[in-house]
Amino acid sequence: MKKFRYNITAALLALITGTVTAAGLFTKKSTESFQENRKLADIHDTIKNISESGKAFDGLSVYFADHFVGRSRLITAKADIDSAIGEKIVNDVYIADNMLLDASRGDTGLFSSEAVRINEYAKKYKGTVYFTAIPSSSGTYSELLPEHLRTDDQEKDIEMLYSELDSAVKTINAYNILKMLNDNYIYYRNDSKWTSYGAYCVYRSVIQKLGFLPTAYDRYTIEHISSDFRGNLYNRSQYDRIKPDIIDIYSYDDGSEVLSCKGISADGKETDVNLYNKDLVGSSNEYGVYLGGDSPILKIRTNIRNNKKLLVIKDDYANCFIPFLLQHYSEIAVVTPEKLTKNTDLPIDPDDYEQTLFLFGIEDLEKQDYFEKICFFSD
Amino acid sequence: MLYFSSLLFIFLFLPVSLLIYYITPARFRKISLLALSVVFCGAVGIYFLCFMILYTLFNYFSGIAIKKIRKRRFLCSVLLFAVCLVDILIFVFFRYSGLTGGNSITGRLAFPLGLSFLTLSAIGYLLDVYSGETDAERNIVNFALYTMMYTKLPGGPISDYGDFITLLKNTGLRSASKNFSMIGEGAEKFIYGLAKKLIFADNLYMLFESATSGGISGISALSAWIGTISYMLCLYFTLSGISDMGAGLSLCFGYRMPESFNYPFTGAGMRDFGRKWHIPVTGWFKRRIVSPVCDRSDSVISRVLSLIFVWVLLSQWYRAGTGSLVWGLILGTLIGVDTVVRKKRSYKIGGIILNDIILLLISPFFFGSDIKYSVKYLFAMIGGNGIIADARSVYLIRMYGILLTVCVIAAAGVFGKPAGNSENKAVRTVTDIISPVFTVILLVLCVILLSSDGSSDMILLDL
Repeated sequence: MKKFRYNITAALLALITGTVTAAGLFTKKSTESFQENRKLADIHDTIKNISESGKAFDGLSVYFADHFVGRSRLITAKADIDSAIGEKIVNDVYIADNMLLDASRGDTGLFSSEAVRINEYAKKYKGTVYFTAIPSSSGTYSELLPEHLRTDDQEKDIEMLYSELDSAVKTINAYNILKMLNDNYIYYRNDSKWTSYGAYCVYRSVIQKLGFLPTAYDRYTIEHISSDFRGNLYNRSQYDRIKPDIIDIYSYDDGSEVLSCKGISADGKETDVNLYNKDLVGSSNEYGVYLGGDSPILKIRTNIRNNKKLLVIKDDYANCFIPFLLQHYSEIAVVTPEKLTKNTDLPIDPDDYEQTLFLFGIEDLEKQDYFEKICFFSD
Repeated sequence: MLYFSSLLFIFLFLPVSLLIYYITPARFRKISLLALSVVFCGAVGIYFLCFMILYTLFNYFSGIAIKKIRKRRFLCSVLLFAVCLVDILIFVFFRYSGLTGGNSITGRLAFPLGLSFLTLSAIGYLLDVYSGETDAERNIVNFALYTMMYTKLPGGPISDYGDFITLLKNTGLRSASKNFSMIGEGAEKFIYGLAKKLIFADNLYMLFESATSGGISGISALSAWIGTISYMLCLYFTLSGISDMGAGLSLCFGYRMPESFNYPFTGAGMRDFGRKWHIPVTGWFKRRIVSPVCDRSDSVISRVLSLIFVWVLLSQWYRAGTGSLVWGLILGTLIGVDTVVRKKRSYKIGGIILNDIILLLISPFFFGSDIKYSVKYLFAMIGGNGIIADARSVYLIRMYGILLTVCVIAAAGVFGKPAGNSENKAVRTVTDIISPVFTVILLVLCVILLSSDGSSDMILLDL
């Protein structure tokens, strides 16, 4: 009987292995994973990396896993199994009752190099520098995380960063505003970033610091351009039982009009871009709708005739924030250091702008040095 | 790096290597297995392959040299000592370079995969050649298979050279059709080992991390117990899982290797635990150290001391550090004393539980970063922090309660023991019928768990 059992086992496993191998050989290979919003390993890059690094099987293992038969279904099932076996954590994403929260343990309080660069900038710059650091959803909703995962106190991190900045840099506390309003839909359920409404709530304070009165909420027309948005936390965890998010565009019909929106590459080449890239609705990167495009620098001109100019140096958090600022400035230049691929002199002169606003997610600042590639002033 | 617990290995390397092995004519099959092992070593890393080749050649020629001068006992002893010392120093260098930060300098000084088993295998072989129990191997293919056979490389099981050669000669060369049921048996064992690693050990490790993260100064007694239970179970399922994978793979190629664990947490007394834990490894140490001492002296003290010495060595074999040394010292003493004091074994459940509690109480010395940490942890376990239970411990029980219960039941052998060895024909028949389906379900579960990263690396220890 035992022999029969093992024969059956061997036959079943041979059948499964054969089927998987055949299916793997004959099915078409995708180039990217929609669910994870990332490119899958490419055979040419894999071979190239093998010849360069000599570690043949590291690259092959990744390629094999990326193109494994039925991968998208398997990784969704993995999220369910992982959350059922133990804690509700999948790939360092915590599954709260109605939202996903980042549960990775990052470095905390190491902002010296960033603070030095911003202080240097403020010293050389002729205008006024403003800085606001935005907490992620796990910072604002930290009480939803189990106690042992609350290692990253973003309120303290922001305080620490602000304390390292010179008095010439005017800081704006976004943490308290967001914390106070956290009963509202101010953060995405499936992404660590704030929603347009969250950005609006902070905009009201920021714009007053910058010297303007905020536009009232009821003046905006809100367009839901997507109600199926799944963000970076879903991409990581693949946990699909949380309600998808809504992407909103706020427009003020009686307000300013955008005259031009130019994307500028690091070497100064200009192209026309849309403020909202609606082509990305329905794609795996719906958040990319805001200030869509890969240009590291954007120059937006409006029909406001006050001759006020603002330079915004930012990360992704600011993408849904900048449209609110357009009601107040005749020109806004937007620099995304993350999109600069090499050490670059800025092709714009910061002194052409009387105000500079640094707006970054505090978590992103912890993870990488955004300013190492950028030279603000050519000496 | 190529792990057994990776999709690439399970669905490409393993089937292709089995296919190549079984279509090779019987007389070339050893060479094909060696070639596959060389590819496996190369897949782990090109430096690793070079290391393995040099290590194999060094011990191969050392064996021949020892054989040649065996009649000149003094010279032969000096040579044996020198060669074994080199093997030990290589092990010590890599084991302790982690402590001194050597691993982080280039990344190339990472502990070579399976070096712990390799060192014991090589020294065992040289000692056997010296004592005349085994003839020095002249066939380099046979010897290279002993050191490099990929199925037993990462997690053993180790065997004496004589036993290995007998196995190589007698059982490994049958055709695939004759070995078909053996392939099924091996694949089943491999998948059980894989499941132990991916379903049990990896999640138990997360539980251990959750219980102990944030320091131990304010940890509650319950969280500390959850931490230590999850660690010991994780250690058991990691070692037993990787041994089962190795033994299962060897079986697929026609080589039946010894069992490594026999439900050690069901041991009635420390001596019983020592007999059931990592059997080929503990057996190796006992054969080389305890038996010679006992042969020369009937003294109780020398027997106890030899057992203590074995467990101290074993502790350093697992992981370097003063904490693990203390663990080995205490465990060795307990096993030694139990061996000479208790003559009658009682298999009452109370005795088993008491034994496990003692094992858990001394385990902080094994996993602690230093003795101070271990003592503090032990202090927390007995309620020294003044907190019996807190929100974290309740949360962990709520989240991991089912996993912990299933793991405890599995470690107690409730699933495996009766199913495999039941005298009831009906139970055996039912087990035989559902087993293939159960194996396939486990494989699917494991594939799902591997789907996002493609592989699951070694946790807790470098072996």
